[in-house]
Amino acid sequence: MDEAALIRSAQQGDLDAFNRLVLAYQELAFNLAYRMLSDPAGAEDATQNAFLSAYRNLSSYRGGSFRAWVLRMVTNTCYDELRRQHRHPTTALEPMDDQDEEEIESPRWLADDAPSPEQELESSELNDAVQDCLNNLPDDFKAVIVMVDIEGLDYQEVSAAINKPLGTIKSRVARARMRLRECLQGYGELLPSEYRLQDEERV
Amino acid sequence: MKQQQLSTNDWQLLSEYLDGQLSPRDRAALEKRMASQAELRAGLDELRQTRTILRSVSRQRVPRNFTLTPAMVQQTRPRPWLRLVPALNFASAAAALAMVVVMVVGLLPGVTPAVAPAPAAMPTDSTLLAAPEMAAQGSDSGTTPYIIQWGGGGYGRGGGGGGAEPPAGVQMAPPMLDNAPDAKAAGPQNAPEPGIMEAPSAAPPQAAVAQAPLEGAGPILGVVPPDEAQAQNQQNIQAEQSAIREVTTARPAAQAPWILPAIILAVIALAAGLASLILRRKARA
Repeated sequence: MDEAALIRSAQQGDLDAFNRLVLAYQELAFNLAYRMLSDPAGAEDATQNAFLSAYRNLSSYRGGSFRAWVLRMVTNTCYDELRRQHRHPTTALEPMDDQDEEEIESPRWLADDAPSPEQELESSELNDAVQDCLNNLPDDFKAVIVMVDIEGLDYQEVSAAINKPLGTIKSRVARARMRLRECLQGYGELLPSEYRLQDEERV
Repeated sequence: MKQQQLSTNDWQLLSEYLDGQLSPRDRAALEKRMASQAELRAGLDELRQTRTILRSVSRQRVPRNFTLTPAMVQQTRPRPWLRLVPALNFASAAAALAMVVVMVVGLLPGVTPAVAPAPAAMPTDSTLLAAPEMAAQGSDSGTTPYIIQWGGGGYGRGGGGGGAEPPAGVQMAPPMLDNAPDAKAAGPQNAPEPGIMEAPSAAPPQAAVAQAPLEGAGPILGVVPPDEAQAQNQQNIQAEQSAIREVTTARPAAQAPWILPAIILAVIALAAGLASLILRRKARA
């Protein structure tokens, strides 16, 4: 069954059809939420809520890129969460066990599925650096640059996903890249050599 | 650092160039500038490198599937009552608006008599200035005008104009008002007097009072024989007394007929608004 047929079935209340769409887009949705919220647990909640919201609002989908429409649900959910966080800032707590309230040494939710050796270390450092720099971006820039440069969406889809004109997307991408360039330069040697920015090498 | 010389616009052009978003003309122009400006080339390299870094971050694997279960859908889909919120908001606003309209209409002068019988309200008003209206209403409703017997012989024939007439003019109004029984007493006692008094000329010194009663179908200063006049006045008085009785009994209810609807509308507005508020609170929780 192709995507359009699945969407039509889902719009008529076929939950299985909708779940097939969920499986197709959940990785993209979760990664966008993860990069925007910088928190795996929060990203999990946001992704789930976004799909619930998508199911509830399926009737509002009027064609076009379904991927962009799903991402709109995700970005909106993340914006809501970020606004909530700005309103009620919380200090990060160490994960606690529900039972005895002792700190969990190796919480499962922290476990990364990445392979192992040096590659993992490099990847981890790079991820951390990128995430840290992303966290310093305004939310609007963050959503756009994650979709374009990390998720590889084209400008048109991003424009549809966040409901902004193409010119706004181009401008936000450029500004986000400028800021990220400066931020990543600060990481210098922490980044794997092949990723070091030229400017850094010159200094 | 040379790149700092680049303007924001240059960075934007470079970023779009990197993604192939520039029009052929803009691209050619930028390439021409890049050929001669090393900082542009360096800037492009840095942007490309930044993009490479971003593209190279590893994707997170999903910690679990996010498929929906029927139970989850049940929990979310169901709240058809949430759809009532806009309707409740509208109902609340409409009821409040209707209440205001009812109150304004109810409080507007002259509107209440339209609800309560018009002549009924008037007799309680003892202002003499109300007399013209009474006279007009009298003619409109086709009731027989009072015939007032002129007391003194020769008075007022042809208009009079002496000091005696004004009091007579003043007393002409009361029979229309709620002291009608006095008229009963006064009228018949007066001796019959032929000749018709013209009101305007009857009381020049007190125009406000005298002008009032005697235009159109106001009280007619009578030429009717006393018996006939008495009988006619008697009829009028009886009719009026019964009207007054009706008014006195009907008055409490008719006093402000808009109050009950206004209260009902206010209750509806409040109830709908509260219900909407509660539903929204519930939805947020």
